Amino acid sequence: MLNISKKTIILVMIPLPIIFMGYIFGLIGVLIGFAISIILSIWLIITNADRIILYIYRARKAMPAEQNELQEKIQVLSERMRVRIPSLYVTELALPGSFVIGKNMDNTMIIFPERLTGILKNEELDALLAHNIVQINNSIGKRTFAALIASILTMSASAIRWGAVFTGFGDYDEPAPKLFGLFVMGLVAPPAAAIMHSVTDKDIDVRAARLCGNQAAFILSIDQLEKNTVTAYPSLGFFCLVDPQKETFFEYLFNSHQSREIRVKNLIEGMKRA
Amino acid sequence: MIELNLDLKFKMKPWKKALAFSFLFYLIILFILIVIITFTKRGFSFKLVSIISAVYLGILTLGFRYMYRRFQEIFTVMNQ
Repeated sequence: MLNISKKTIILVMIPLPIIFMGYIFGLIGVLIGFAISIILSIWLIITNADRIILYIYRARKAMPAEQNELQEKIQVLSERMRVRIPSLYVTELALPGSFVIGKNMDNTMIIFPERLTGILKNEELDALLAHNIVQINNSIGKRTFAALIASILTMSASAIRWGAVFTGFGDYDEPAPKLFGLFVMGLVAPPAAAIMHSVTDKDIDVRAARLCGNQAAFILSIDQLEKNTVTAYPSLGFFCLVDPQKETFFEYLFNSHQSREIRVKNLIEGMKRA
Repeated sequence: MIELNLDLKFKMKPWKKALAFSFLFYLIILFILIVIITFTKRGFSFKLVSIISAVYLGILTLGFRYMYRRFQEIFTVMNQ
Protein backbone atom coordinates (compact mmCIF):
# COMPACT_ATOMS: atom_id res chain seq x y z
CA MET A 1 0.00 0.00 0.00
CA LEU A 2 2.82 2.39 0.92
CA ASN A 3 4.64 1.66 -2.37
CA ILE A 4 1.54 2.39 -4.47
CA SER A 5 1.04 5.72 -2.68
CA LYS A 6 4.71 6.63 -3.21
CA LYS A 7 4.43 5.95 -6.96
CA THR A 8 1.18 7.91 -7.16
CA ILE A 9 2.78 10.87 -5.39
CA ILE A 10 5.73 10.80 -7.81
CA LEU A 11 3.43 10.55 -10.87
CA VAL A 12 1.37 13.49 -9.62
CA MET A 13 4.42 15.61 -8.68
CA ILE A 14 5.93 15.62 -12.16
CA PRO A 15 3.15 17.36 -14.18
CA LEU A 16 2.10 19.61 -11.27
CA PRO A 17 4.64 22.41 -11.95
CA ILE A 18 3.43 22.65 -15.59
CA ILE A 19 -0.22 22.91 -14.59
CA PHE A 20 0.44 25.28 -11.71
CA MET A 21 2.76 27.64 -13.60
CA GLY A 22 0.59 27.53 -16.71
CA TYR A 23 -2.50 28.48 -14.70
CA ILE A 24 -0.74 31.49 -13.18
CA PHE A 25 1.53 32.73 -15.97
CA GLY A 26 0.00 31.38 -19.18
CA LEU A 27 2.18 29.96 -22.00
CA ILE A 28 5.52 31.16 -20.57
CA GLY A 29 4.50 29.59 -17.26
CA VAL A 30 3.84 26.30 -19.04
CA LEU A 31 7.35 26.37 -20.55
CA ILE A 32 8.94 27.20 -17.19
CA GLY A 33 6.83 24.50 -15.54
CA PHE A 34 7.93 22.04 -18.23
CA ALA A 35 11.59 22.86 -17.53
CA ILE A 36 11.00 22.36 -13.78
CA SER A 37 9.29 19.00 -14.48
CA ILE A 38 12.23 17.85 -16.58
CA ILE A 39 14.70 18.80 -13.83
CA LEU A 40 12.50 16.98 -11.29
CA SER A 41 12.31 13.87 -13.49
CA ILE A 42 16.09 13.84 -13.99
CA TRP A 43 16.60 14.16 -10.23
CA LEU A 44 14.17 11.27 -9.61
CA ILE A 45 15.95 9.11 -12.20
CA ILE A 46 19.39 9.83 -10.70
CA THR A 47 18.25 9.06 -7.15
CA ASN A 48 16.37 5.90 -8.16
CA ALA A 49 18.70 4.55 -10.87
CA ASP A 50 19.21 1.25 -9.03
CA ARG A 51 15.44 0.67 -8.63
CA ILE A 52 14.85 1.43 -12.28
CA ILE A 53 17.57 -1.04 -13.32
CA LEU A 54 15.94 -3.73 -11.15
CA TYR A 55 12.67 -3.04 -12.97
CA ILE A 56 14.29 -3.06 -16.44
CA TYR A 57 15.99 -6.41 -15.84
CA ARG A 58 12.94 -7.89 -14.06
CA ALA A 59 14.94 -8.73 -10.96
CA ARG A 60 13.18 -9.78 -7.77
CA LYS A 61 14.64 -10.02 -4.30
CA ALA A 62 15.79 -13.57 -3.47
CA MET A 63 13.67 -15.08 -0.68
CA PRO A 64 15.54 -15.94 2.55
CA ALA A 65 15.45 -19.68 1.77
CA GLU A 66 16.21 -19.17 -1.91
CA GLN A 67 19.74 -19.45 -3.27
CA ASN A 68 21.15 -20.12 0.22
CA GLU A 69 24.57 -21.11 -1.09
CA LEU A 70 24.86 -17.92 -3.12
CA GLN A 71 23.84 -15.77 -0.18
CA GLU A 72 26.47 -17.47 2.01
CA LYS A 73 29.17 -16.97 -0.64
CA ILE A 74 28.25 -13.27 -0.94
CA GLN A 75 28.44 -12.91 2.84
CA VAL A 76 31.89 -14.54 3.06
CA LEU A 77 33.31 -12.50 0.17
CA SER A 78 31.85 -9.21 1.47
CA GLU A 79 33.35 -9.81 4.92
CA ARG A 80 36.71 -10.54 3.31
CA MET A 81 36.43 -7.37 1.22
CA ARG A 82 35.17 -5.42 4.27
CA VAL A 83 32.10 -4.02 2.55
CA ARG A 84 28.46 -4.15 3.54
CA ILE A 85 26.77 -7.34 2.30
CA PRO A 86 24.86 -6.56 -0.91
CA SER A 87 21.27 -7.82 -1.30
CA LEU A 88 20.75 -10.62 -3.77
CA TYR A 89 18.26 -10.16 -6.59
CA VAL A 90 17.56 -12.91 -9.11
CA THR A 91 16.23 -12.67 -12.63
CA GLU A 92 15.03 -15.20 -15.18
CA LEU A 93 16.32 -13.09 -18.06
CA ALA A 94 19.30 -14.55 -19.94
CA LEU A 95 21.84 -11.88 -19.02
CA PRO A 96 25.54 -12.28 -19.93
CA GLY A 97 26.51 -12.43 -16.25
CA SER A 98 25.78 -11.17 -12.78
CA PHE A 99 26.46 -7.56 -11.85
CA VAL A 100 26.37 -5.23 -8.87
CA ILE A 101 24.54 -1.90 -8.70
CA GLY A 102 23.79 0.55 -5.93
CA LYS A 103 23.33 4.13 -4.79
CA ASN A 104 26.46 4.02 -2.66
CA MET A 105 28.79 1.55 -0.95
CA ASP A 106 26.31 0.86 1.85
CA ASN A 107 23.33 0.24 -0.38
CA THR A 108 24.26 -2.28 -3.08
CA MET A 109 22.51 -5.15 -4.86
CA ILE A 110 23.78 -8.08 -6.89
CA ILE A 111 21.58 -9.05 -9.83
CA PHE A 112 22.08 -12.72 -10.56
CA PRO A 113 20.57 -14.47 -13.61
CA GLU A 114 19.26 -17.89 -12.56
CA ARG A 115 20.72 -19.60 -15.64
CA LEU A 116 24.25 -19.24 -14.20
CA THR A 117 23.68 -21.77 -11.41
CA GLY A 118 23.31 -24.43 -14.11
CA ILE A 119 26.44 -23.36 -15.99
CA LEU A 120 29.03 -22.66 -13.29
CA LYS A 121 30.46 -24.93 -10.62
CA ASN A 122 30.91 -23.95 -6.97
CA GLU A 123 34.40 -22.41 -7.24
CA GLU A 124 33.49 -20.70 -10.50
CA LEU A 125 30.47 -19.07 -8.82
CA ASP A 126 32.82 -17.87 -6.07
CA ALA A 127 35.04 -16.28 -8.70
CA LEU A 128 32.06 -14.68 -10.46
CA LEU A 129 30.71 -13.20 -7.22
CA ALA A 130 34.21 -12.01 -6.27
CA HIS A 131 34.30 -10.16 -9.62
CA ASN A 132 31.05 -8.42 -8.63
CA ILE A 133 32.04 -7.62 -5.05
CA VAL A 134 35.39 -5.99 -5.93
CA GLN A 135 33.38 -3.44 -7.94
CA ILE A 136 31.75 -2.13 -4.74
CA ASN A 137 33.50 1.18 -4.17
CA ASN A 138 32.81 4.91 -4.13
CA SER A 139 32.05 5.04 -7.83
CA ILE A 140 29.24 2.44 -7.71
CA GLY A 141 26.55 5.15 -7.83
CA LYS A 142 28.10 6.76 -10.91
CA ARG A 143 28.45 3.40 -12.64
CA THR A 144 24.86 2.47 -11.85
CA PHE A 145 23.62 5.71 -13.38
CA ALA A 146 25.85 5.21 -16.45
CA ALA A 147 24.54 1.64 -16.82
CA LEU A 148 20.96 2.96 -16.67
CA ILE A 149 21.53 5.59 -19.36
CA ALA A 150 23.40 3.12 -21.60
CA SER A 151 20.63 0.50 -21.09
CA ILE A 152 17.86 2.96 -21.97
CA LEU A 153 19.72 4.12 -25.10
CA THR A 154 20.43 0.60 -26.37
CA MET A 155 16.95 -0.64 -25.54
CA SER A 156 15.48 2.05 -27.77
CA ALA A 157 16.93 0.14 -30.74
CA SER A 158 15.12 -2.99 -29.60
CA ALA A 159 11.93 -0.98 -29.02
CA ILE A 160 12.03 0.43 -32.57
CA ARG A 161 12.63 -3.07 -33.94
CA TRP A 162 9.57 -4.40 -32.09
CA GLY A 163 7.63 -1.32 -33.23
CA ALA A 164 8.49 -2.26 -36.82
CA VAL A 165 7.22 -5.79 -36.14
CA PHE A 166 3.91 -4.56 -34.71
CA THR A 167 3.38 -2.06 -37.54
CA GLY A 168 3.58 -4.83 -40.11
CA PHE A 169 7.15 -4.71 -41.43
CA GLY A 170 7.67 -8.41 -40.80
CA ASP A 171 8.84 -10.76 -38.08
CA TYR A 172 11.51 -9.88 -35.53
CA ASP A 173 14.27 -11.65 -37.50
CA GLU A 174 13.27 -10.33 -40.91
CA PRO A 175 15.40 -7.72 -42.75
CA ALA A 176 13.07 -4.70 -42.41
CA PRO A 177 12.72 -4.65 -38.59
CA LYS A 178 16.43 -5.53 -38.31
CA LEU A 179 17.27 -2.51 -40.47
CA PHE A 180 15.19 -0.17 -38.31
CA GLY A 181 16.86 -1.55 -35.18
CA LEU A 182 20.30 -1.26 -36.80
CA PHE A 183 19.67 2.36 -37.76
CA VAL A 184 18.67 3.36 -34.22
CA MET A 185 21.54 1.31 -32.77
CA GLY A 186 23.90 3.22 -35.07
CA LEU A 187 22.62 6.49 -33.63
CA VAL A 188 22.68 5.53 -29.94
CA ALA A 189 25.63 3.12 -29.70
CA PRO A 190 28.54 5.64 -29.82
CA PRO A 191 27.22 7.99 -27.08
CA ALA A 192 26.04 5.03 -24.95
CA ALA A 193 29.42 3.29 -25.29
CA ALA A 194 31.28 6.55 -24.55
CA ILE A 195 29.21 7.00 -21.34
CA MET A 196 29.88 3.40 -20.35
CA HIS A 197 33.63 3.55 -20.99
CA SER A 198 33.93 6.72 -18.90
CA VAL A 199 33.12 4.73 -15.74
CA THR A 200 34.95 1.44 -16.25
CA ASP A 201 37.21 0.24 -13.44
CA LYS A 202 40.73 -1.09 -13.88
CA ASP A 203 42.46 -4.26 -12.63
CA ILE A 204 39.18 -5.90 -11.63
CA ASP A 205 40.37 -9.36 -12.71
CA VAL A 206 43.44 -9.32 -10.45
CA ARG A 207 41.48 -7.98 -7.46
CA ALA A 208 38.71 -10.54 -8.00
CA ALA A 209 41.15 -13.45 -8.30
CA ARG A 210 42.88 -12.30 -5.10
CA LEU A 211 39.53 -12.02 -3.29
CA CYS A 212 38.30 -15.50 -4.22
CA GLY A 213 41.83 -16.93 -3.81
CA ASN A 214 41.50 -19.26 -6.79
CA GLN A 215 43.05 -18.01 -10.04
CA ALA A 216 42.28 -21.23 -11.92
CA ALA A 217 38.57 -21.07 -11.01
CA PHE A 218 38.47 -17.45 -12.18
CA ILE A 219 39.90 -18.41 -15.58
CA LEU A 220 37.49 -21.37 -15.82
CA SER A 221 34.52 -19.13 -15.03
CA ILE A 222 35.57 -16.78 -17.86
CA ASP A 223 35.79 -19.78 -20.23
CA GLN A 224 32.39 -21.15 -19.19
CA LEU A 225 30.65 -17.79 -19.52
CA GLU A 226 32.23 -17.16 -22.94
CA LYS A 227 31.06 -20.61 -24.10
CA ASN A 228 27.54 -19.92 -22.82
CA THR A 229 27.27 -16.23 -23.57
CA VAL A 230 24.10 -14.59 -24.88
CA THR A 231 23.28 -12.00 -27.53
CA ALA A 232 21.65 -8.78 -26.31
CA TYR A 233 22.24 -6.41 -23.40
CA PRO A 234 25.48 -4.97 -24.84
CA SER A 235 25.48 -2.20 -22.22
CA LEU A 236 25.99 -4.77 -19.43
CA GLY A 237 29.33 -6.03 -20.68
CA PHE A 238 31.37 -3.62 -18.57
CA PHE A 239 29.61 -4.80 -15.38
CA CYS A 240 29.78 -8.53 -16.12
CA LEU A 241 32.67 -10.96 -16.26
CA VAL A 242 32.45 -11.36 -20.04
CA ASP A 243 31.08 -9.31 -22.93
CA PRO A 244 27.86 -10.57 -24.52
CA GLN A 245 27.89 -11.93 -28.07
CA LYS A 246 27.63 -9.31 -30.75
CA GLU A 247 24.65 -9.17 -33.07
CA THR A 248 25.77 -6.10 -35.02
CA PHE A 249 29.19 -4.46 -35.45
CA PHE A 250 27.97 -1.44 -33.44
CA GLU A 251 28.15 -3.60 -30.33
CA TYR A 252 31.94 -3.79 -30.68
CA LEU A 253 31.96 -0.26 -29.27
CA PHE A 254 30.76 -1.74 -25.95
CA ASN A 255 33.69 -4.19 -25.70
CA SER A 256 34.97 -3.82 -22.15
CA HIS A 257 37.10 -6.91 -21.80
CA GLN A 258 40.31 -7.92 -23.51
CA SER A 259 40.62 -11.25 -25.32
CA ARG A 260 40.86 -14.34 -23.12
CA GLU A 261 44.59 -14.79 -23.80
CA ILE A 262 45.49 -11.20 -22.86
CA ARG A 263 43.26 -11.39 -19.77
CA VAL A 264 44.89 -14.62 -18.55
CA LYS A 265 48.40 -13.22 -19.21
CA ASN A 266 47.60 -9.96 -17.33
CA LEU A 267 46.00 -11.94 -14.50
CA ILE A 268 49.03 -14.20 -14.04
CA GLU A 269 51.40 -11.19 -14.14
CA GLY A 270 49.17 -9.27 -11.74
CA MET A 271 49.02 -12.15 -9.27
CA LYS A 272 52.83 -12.53 -9.36
CA ARG A 273 53.22 -8.83 -8.55
CA ALA A 274 50.84 -9.14 -5.56
CA MET B 1 29.69 -10.64 -72.03
CA ILE B 2 32.02 -8.50 -69.99
CA GLU B 3 32.73 -9.67 -66.48
CA LEU B 4 34.10 -7.38 -63.84
CA ASN B 5 35.92 -9.07 -61.00
CA LEU B 6 36.50 -6.49 -58.37
CA ASP B 7 38.39 -8.06 -55.54
CA LEU B 8 37.95 -5.18 -53.16
CA LYS B 9 38.93 -5.85 -49.57
CA PHE B 10 37.88 -3.17 -47.15
CA LYS B 11 39.45 -3.90 -43.81
CA MET B 12 38.54 -1.66 -40.97
CA LYS B 13 38.59 -2.33 -37.25
CA PRO B 14 35.02 -3.02 -36.00
CA TRP B 15 34.88 0.03 -33.73
CA LYS B 16 36.05 2.33 -36.56
CA LYS B 17 33.46 0.80 -38.91
CA ALA B 18 30.81 1.36 -36.21
CA LEU B 19 31.77 5.04 -35.84
CA ALA B 20 31.86 5.56 -39.61
CA PHE B 21 28.38 4.10 -40.13
CA SER B 22 27.06 5.99 -37.11
CA PHE B 23 28.33 9.25 -38.65
CA LEU B 24 26.58 8.32 -41.89
CA PHE B 25 23.32 7.64 -40.02
CA TYR B 26 23.52 11.03 -38.32
CA LEU B 27 23.96 12.59 -41.80
CA ILE B 28 20.77 10.80 -42.88
CA ILE B 29 19.02 12.45 -39.92
CA LEU B 30 20.28 15.83 -41.19
CA PHE B 31 18.89 15.03 -44.63
CA ILE B 32 15.49 14.14 -43.13
CA LEU B 33 15.60 17.39 -41.12
CA ILE B 34 16.27 19.40 -44.32
CA VAL B 35 13.38 17.65 -46.11
CA ILE B 36 11.02 18.47 -43.19
CA ILE B 37 12.16 22.13 -43.15
CA THR B 38 11.71 22.40 -46.94
CA PHE B 39 8.17 21.03 -46.76
CA THR B 40 7.15 23.24 -43.80
CA LYS B 41 8.64 26.38 -45.43
CA ARG B 42 7.00 25.41 -48.76
CA GLY B 43 10.30 25.99 -50.53
CA PHE B 44 14.02 25.53 -50.18
CA SER B 45 15.49 28.26 -48.01
CA PHE B 46 19.23 28.11 -48.69
CA LYS B 47 20.17 30.47 -45.84
CA LEU B 48 18.20 28.61 -43.16
CA VAL B 49 19.31 25.17 -44.37
CA SER B 50 22.98 26.32 -44.46
CA ILE B 51 22.82 27.64 -40.91
CA ILE B 52 21.17 24.46 -39.59
CA SER B 53 23.58 22.23 -41.53
CA ALA B 54 26.62 24.20 -40.36
CA VAL B 55 25.59 24.04 -36.69
CA TYR B 56 24.53 20.38 -36.90
CA LEU B 57 27.69 19.28 -38.75
CA GLY B 58 29.88 21.36 -36.41
CA ILE B 59 28.44 19.70 -33.30
CA LEU B 60 28.49 16.29 -34.96
CA THR B 61 32.12 16.60 -36.08
CA LEU B 62 33.28 17.75 -32.64
CA GLY B 63 31.35 14.96 -30.97
CA PHE B 64 32.68 12.26 -33.26
CA ARG B 65 36.21 13.64 -33.01
CA TYR B 66 36.04 13.33 -29.22
CA MET B 67 34.54 9.82 -29.46
CA TYR B 68 37.12 8.66 -32.03
CA ARG B 69 40.01 9.75 -29.79
CA ARG B 70 38.39 8.24 -26.71
CA PHE B 71 37.70 4.87 -28.36
CA GLN B 72 41.18 4.84 -29.91
CA GLU B 73 42.71 5.22 -26.42
CA ILE B 74 40.44 2.54 -24.97
CA PHE B 75 40.90 -0.05 -27.70
CA THR B 76 44.66 0.52 -28.00
CA VAL B 77 45.07 -0.25 -24.28
CA MET B 78 42.65 -3.17 -24.54
CA ASN B 79 44.58 -4.85 -27.32
CA GLN B 80 47.96 -4.57 -25.62
